[in-house]
Amino acid sequence: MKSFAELVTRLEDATDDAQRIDALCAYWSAVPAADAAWALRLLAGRGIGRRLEPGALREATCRAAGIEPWLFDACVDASGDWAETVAHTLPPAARPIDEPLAHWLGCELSAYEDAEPGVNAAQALRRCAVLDTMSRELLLRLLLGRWRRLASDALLQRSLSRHAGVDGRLLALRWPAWLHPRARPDASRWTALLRSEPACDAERVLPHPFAPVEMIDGDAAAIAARLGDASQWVVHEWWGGERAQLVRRDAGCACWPARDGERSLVPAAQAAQAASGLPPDTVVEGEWAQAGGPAGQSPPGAAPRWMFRISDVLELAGRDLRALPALQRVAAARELACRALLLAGTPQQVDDWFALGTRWAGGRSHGVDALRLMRRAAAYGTPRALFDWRTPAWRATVLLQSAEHVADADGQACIELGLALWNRRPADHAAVQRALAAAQTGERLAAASAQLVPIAKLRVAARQGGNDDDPLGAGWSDWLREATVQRFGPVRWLRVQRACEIAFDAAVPTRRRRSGIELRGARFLRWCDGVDAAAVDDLPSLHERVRIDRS
Amino acid sequence: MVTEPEDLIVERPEGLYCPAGDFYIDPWRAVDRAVITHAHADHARPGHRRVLATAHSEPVLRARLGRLSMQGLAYGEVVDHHGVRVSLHPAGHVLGSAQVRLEHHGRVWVASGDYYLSSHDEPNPTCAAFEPVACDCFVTESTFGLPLYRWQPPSDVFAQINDWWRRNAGRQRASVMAAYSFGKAQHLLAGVDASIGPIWVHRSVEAMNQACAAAGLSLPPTRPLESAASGDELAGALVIAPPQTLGGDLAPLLSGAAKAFASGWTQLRSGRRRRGFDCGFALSDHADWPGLQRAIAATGAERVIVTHGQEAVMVRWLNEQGLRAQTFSTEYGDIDDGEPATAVAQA
Repeated sequence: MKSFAELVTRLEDATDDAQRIDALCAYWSAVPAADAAWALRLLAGRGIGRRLEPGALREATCRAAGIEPWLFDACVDASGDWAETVAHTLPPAARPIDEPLAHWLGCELSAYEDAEPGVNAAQALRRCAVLDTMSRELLLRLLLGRWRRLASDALLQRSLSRHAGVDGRLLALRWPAWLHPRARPDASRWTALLRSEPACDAERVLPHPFAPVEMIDGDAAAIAARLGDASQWVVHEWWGGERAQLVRRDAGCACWPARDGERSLVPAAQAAQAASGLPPDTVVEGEWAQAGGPAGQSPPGAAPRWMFRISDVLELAGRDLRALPALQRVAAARELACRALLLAGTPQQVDDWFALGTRWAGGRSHGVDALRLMRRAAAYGTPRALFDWRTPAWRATVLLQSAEHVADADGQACIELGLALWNRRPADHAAVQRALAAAQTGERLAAASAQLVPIAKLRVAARQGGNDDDPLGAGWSDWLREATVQRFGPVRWLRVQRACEIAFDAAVPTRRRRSGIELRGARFLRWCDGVDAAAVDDLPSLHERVRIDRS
Repeated sequence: MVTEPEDLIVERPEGLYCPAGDFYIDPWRAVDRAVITHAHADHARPGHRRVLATAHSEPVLRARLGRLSMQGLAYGEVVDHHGVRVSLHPAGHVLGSAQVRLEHHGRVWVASGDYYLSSHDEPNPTCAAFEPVACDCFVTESTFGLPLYRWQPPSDVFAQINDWWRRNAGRQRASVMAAYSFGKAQHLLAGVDASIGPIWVHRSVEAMNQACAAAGLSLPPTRPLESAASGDELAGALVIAPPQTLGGDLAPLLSGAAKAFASGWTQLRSGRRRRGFDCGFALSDHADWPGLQRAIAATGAERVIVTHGQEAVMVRWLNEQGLRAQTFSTEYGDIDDGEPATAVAQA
C-alpha cells in the first residue's frame, strides 16, 4: 500500500509523461503481479463504489481527533478535500503498517459490505489509525466513492508496453475487457494482459502506425509561408469525425481509433460491416461520419448511422502502399468507395492557397472542421506531410455563472465553468438587474422576460495559486472566493458580472438544454472584463451568426 | 480588540506596544524603541531608533537593516526598562528568534513572535529550541492554526528531499529548492545530504549564510549561483534560492531543472503546485496545531491573544477550551521577502 501511495505522489508531482512513465515502470517492476493488477485498475480510475457516508465519517473523525464539527468544517474549507482533511486531522500512526495492495483491498473491502454508516466510519478510522497519511488519504477517497483517475489509459499502456515489451496495439485491444466493472484484477489476468503474442484472431488484425497530423491555423498567407508551393499539396475535407483505420485480414476485421487507449464511438457491428466491405488484406484510413453529410445528425431517438470516409489507402490486397506518394494512394481510395458503409473522401489538388482559403472561408457553415492537406509526393508517415488547416471557430461572448473544481479523465485538476447568455436582449437596465439577480439565485423569470440561460460548461486546467500564465489569470483564486454567492456542494454560484469569450466548433439543436442548442468543442479564449453584462451575446443574435446544424 | 487597563501589550497603529515600558514589539512602522523577536522582514522593519534583540540575531539584523543602534541580549538575560523587566527566550523559529517576556507589577506577559514546536522532538538544528515560559497572558502566532496541519518529523522530510535530489541527479538534472533566504535556506543546508552533489545558492542566501556564520552557525560549503556559466554546470546539483528570484535572469539558467518549494503550506495538495513548482516539501519553521496547543498549555496562561494566521479559529477553539482568548490585528505574515541591506545597496 505504501509503495502505491508513493507512486501516486510521484505521478502527481511529475511534470512530463517521461517522469510518469519512469515512475510507473519502476512500480511495475517492484511489486507482485496481484498488486500491479489492482494498482493498474485504480490508476485507470476504477473505484469500488461508495462505502462511507460523509456525515458519519465527519462525526467519527471529530471524536477521534477531539475536535468540534465546526473545526472540522474549517479544515475542509482550507483543504477543499474530505479525504485529505480526515487523513491529516487524525493523529498520526505510531507505527504505520504496510500491507500488499491486493491483500489489503481483498480483505479490507469485504468489511464494509452491508454495514451501518457509523459502523463503516468506525472501521475506516480503525484502519486509518495504522496507516501513513498518504495511504489513509487514498483509502478514504476510495471508500467515499471519490476515487479519480490518476493516469490516462494511453500513459498506462505506454508504461506497460515499455515494462513488458508488449505491442501497445495489443494492450489497446485488451484494455476494455481489463477495465470491465465485473473483471476482478488478479495475477493471472495481469499475466494475460502482458502476453506479447497475439492471443486470438482479433489480436492478429492490427493497424499500421498512424501518421502524425499537425494542426495549423491562420489565413492563406500564413499557410503559404509555412507550406510553400500549393501545387505540391492535395486537400481533403475533414468533417471532424473520429479518425480511424479499418483493417480486413483473413483472421478478421477491426476498426482502430487513432487516439490511443480510446474506444471507438462507432458500434462494433457497423465498424465490422464497413471493414468487411474491403478486399482481404486491406488497410484504409479515414474518418467516421454520420450519414447525412458533414456534422450530420440522425433524427432524435434514432441510432446514428455511420459511414467511413476513406482518405488514404495504406495496404491493398496484401500490397503495402505506404511508400507510394499520397496522390497514388488517394486515387486507390476511389476504387474502394461505395461499398458497405464506405465513402470516398474528396481529395483535390490545390492550385492556390488564397483561392482555397476564399472557397472554404465559410467552411464551418458547411460542417467542415478542417482541410486535411497531404503532401502529394510524400510516403505515408513522412514527417510534416500531413496537416489539418482548421477552419475558424465560432465565437461568443458569455457570462460566467458558476464554477466547480473537478478532475478530468486523466485525473488532472480542472475548473468547470458554467456559462450563460441572454435568451433575448434586455429592454433596459432594470431588466438587466432583475435577470442578474435571478441568475444568482436560480430563480426562473416569466418566459417573456429577458433572462440568462445556461449555454455551455467547459473545463480549464486549474493551477493553484494563479500566476500570469494561467488561462484564468493571476488572482483567479482570490476573485473566485470573493465572487461566490453560495455553494451547493462543490459548485460555486457566482455573482454574475464577469464576461468571457469562448470559441466553439459547432452548435446543434437539443431538447436537453433550456437554450435549445448545444455548443460542441467549446473552449475558453479570454476574459472580457471591459464588457458589461448587458452586452454579452443573446440567442437570437447567435442564431443569426452561427449555422445551427440541423439534419 | 477590547483591552483592559492593566494590559502589558496593546495594539497601536505602529504595532504591538507596551505602555508601561514605552516600547514596541516587532512594530511595522518606524518607532523610537523596538524589541525585535527575529530578523524576518515582516517582524524586523527598518527605521527604528533603538532595537533590542538577541545577540544571536545581531549579525543577521545588521545585514538586513544596515546601520542599527542595537543592544543584543543573551537568552534569559534581563533588562529593566521603566520598571518593566524584559527578557528574551528561545522560540525555535530561526537563528536568534526569541519570545519576549515582560514582567511588571507581578504580571507576566509573553509575546511569542514566530515559533516552532511540534509533536515531534526534532527541533530546528540552526537555532535554540522553543522553551515554554510561564505567564499570565500569552500572545501567540497562529500561522498553521488548524488541526490538519501536523508536521512529519523533519528527518522524514529531509529523507524525501534527499531522495528527490538523488533521483534528479541520476538524470543529470538540477534540483532547485525555493526557500526564503533567511531561516528556511539554512535549515535546508543543515539537513540535506551534502554528499549527493554540489550545492549552489543565490547571493541573498549566501549573504544570510555569512551572517549566520558570524553568529556561530556551521553550514556545508556552497557555491555562488551567479558564478554558474550555464545550466549544464548545475546538472546534479542542489540549488537554493528565494522563490521570487527564480524568474527573471535566473530563468534561462534553471530551465529544465526540477523545482520544489519547501514550506508548511505544501502539506496540502492545494499548496503543492502553487507558483508553478513541480512539488513541495512540508518543512516548516512554524508551530503546527499540536505544537500551538502544547505551547499554550505549557505557559499556563489563562488569557491568550492570537495574532497572524488562523485567528478566528484559534480564538473560538481556545474560548471553548475555557481560556479567555482574543485577537491582535497585526501586519505580520509568513512570507519573508527581505533582501539583505548589502545586496540592496549593490543592486
